[in-house]
Amino acid sequence: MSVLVIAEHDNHSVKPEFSKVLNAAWQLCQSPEMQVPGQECGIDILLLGSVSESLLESLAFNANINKIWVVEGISHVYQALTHLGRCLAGLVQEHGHYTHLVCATTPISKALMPNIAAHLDVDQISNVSAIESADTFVRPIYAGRLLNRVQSQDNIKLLSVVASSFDALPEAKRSERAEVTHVALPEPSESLQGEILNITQTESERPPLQSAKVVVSVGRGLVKSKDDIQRAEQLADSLGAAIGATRAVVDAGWMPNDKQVGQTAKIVSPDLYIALGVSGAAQHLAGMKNSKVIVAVNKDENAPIFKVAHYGLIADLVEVMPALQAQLSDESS
Amino acid sequence: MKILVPLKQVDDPGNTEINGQYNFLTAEAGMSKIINPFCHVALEEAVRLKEKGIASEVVLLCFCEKDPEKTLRKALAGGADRAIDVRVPSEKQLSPLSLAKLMQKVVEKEQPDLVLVGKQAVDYDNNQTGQMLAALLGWNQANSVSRLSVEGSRIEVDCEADDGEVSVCFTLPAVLTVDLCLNEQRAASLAHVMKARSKPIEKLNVNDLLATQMLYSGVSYLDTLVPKNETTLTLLNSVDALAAEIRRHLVS
Repeated sequence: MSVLVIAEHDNHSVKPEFSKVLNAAWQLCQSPEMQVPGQECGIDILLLGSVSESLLESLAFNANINKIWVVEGISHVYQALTHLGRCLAGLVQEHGHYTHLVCATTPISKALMPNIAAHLDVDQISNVSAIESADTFVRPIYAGRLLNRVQSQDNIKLLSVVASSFDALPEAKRSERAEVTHVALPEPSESLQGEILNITQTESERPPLQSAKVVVSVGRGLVKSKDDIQRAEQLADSLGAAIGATRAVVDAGWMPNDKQVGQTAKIVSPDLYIALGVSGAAQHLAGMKNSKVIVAVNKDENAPIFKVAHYGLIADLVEVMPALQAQLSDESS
Repeated sequence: MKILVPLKQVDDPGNTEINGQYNFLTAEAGMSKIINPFCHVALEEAVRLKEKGIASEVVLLCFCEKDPEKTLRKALAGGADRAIDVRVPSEKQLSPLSLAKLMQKVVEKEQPDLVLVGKQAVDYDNNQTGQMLAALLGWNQANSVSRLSVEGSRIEVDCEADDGEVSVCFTLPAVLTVDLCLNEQRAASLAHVMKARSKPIEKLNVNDLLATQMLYSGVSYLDTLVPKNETTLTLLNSVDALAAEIRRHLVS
């Protein structure tokens, strides 16, 4: 019995959430149902696309990883999703000892995992936030207003996990090298072969939203003009923070879509989340309430954000922003 | 080009509150279900493609649980041509895979070139059905689409990526799951509302499409819990105190 983890990477390193997903897989392995005498439950990982030798080496000597699959022949996951889903389902089926296929909830896994699930003829369990046992899981529903306990009786269980709900699995090294198997994907048929036209990465000077230690988040209570966005960005830069936004700000076109924090967008859990003029709609709270420390500024003392915040200031941001910027940039200079 | 738009009914999240006794959401008395907001975006986009002369027909598909006639007439007023109403026994909770299998049967019968579906429903937040349908049909798929354009049998879409967007182009047929930012919905015009009254609604039962045993899911819902909130709020009284807290937590 083994758990297979899809590890997203950028050729040179795995995504920051990998160690948290690994912890979810480890928890599955530790559950009593997975303990079969004479058989150890292990974690295998699957890397999509070619990887650098140094990344492969660092993973191969990770004591938590038994075996590594490198699936080659993919230039971009979005290019041939249905073909990829079919091939990966085939790989999982061929190696029948997998009881779980696990990945983090990310744009790529949202697109790919259900496709694999349908090819395997099983339902998928999205956004798992806690693992109770090898077959029972907890996931938020209704934008995080409720938690749903679900049980899967499928032979293979497909889970996408909210990485921020799990702690990182401490890394351990071993001297023996894990087995690495390279698999070349067959070419998709012409009709299933898409073409990647453009990859737009919004801004690179700030840390990525989902792995940033500090996030400055803006809501409609702050943003009335482009200048307000600039002020928030300036503040984020003096703190080395990522910038996020509520759905209202994104819908109004003040910030790009990929900066939206919420149940239906990005789920974050930084060490420090600074909510500026964020009222705290249920779906926004579901995307950030696991942050370690939440600081909120809003002039409405009844704003729901104060129900999840650790520190709150009830004040008008028009006055707060310049004073706060002055204080915090003093610090950094 | 023919477009199929599957619609899902959900409880209006704005009109529900948590019932402490059953740990579930209770809708206000007399509240009817609404069309999932993401499905509305899909419908709007299909109608726009028809207005541009790209689509020739827009067909709605709903596995309605409550007031199907009212729900579908309202949706048809958005500008679709006709609707298929598939009745599901109310005790039957259909999983995303089961829904995808039912949609597959409808697609095989209707032969659309494009299926536009909301990326997720605001009740169970699964974000799965469209992708599963693409897999079952063996069609091209794009998820969380924020822009699309059609040129003959080629479709170009922008979809969500980690820190930005990816533009990808492929041939039809395809299943696209759409994000809220794809378009801004318009209110139905009076002319459309009037026309919607006489548009055809085909009525089917679930078992006209698939035998009950084909709708088995290995995943079952056990119960629901209300998330605990153990945060205690410390109110600050000045920007100085705010800056001090931010600094303190930056260091630690």
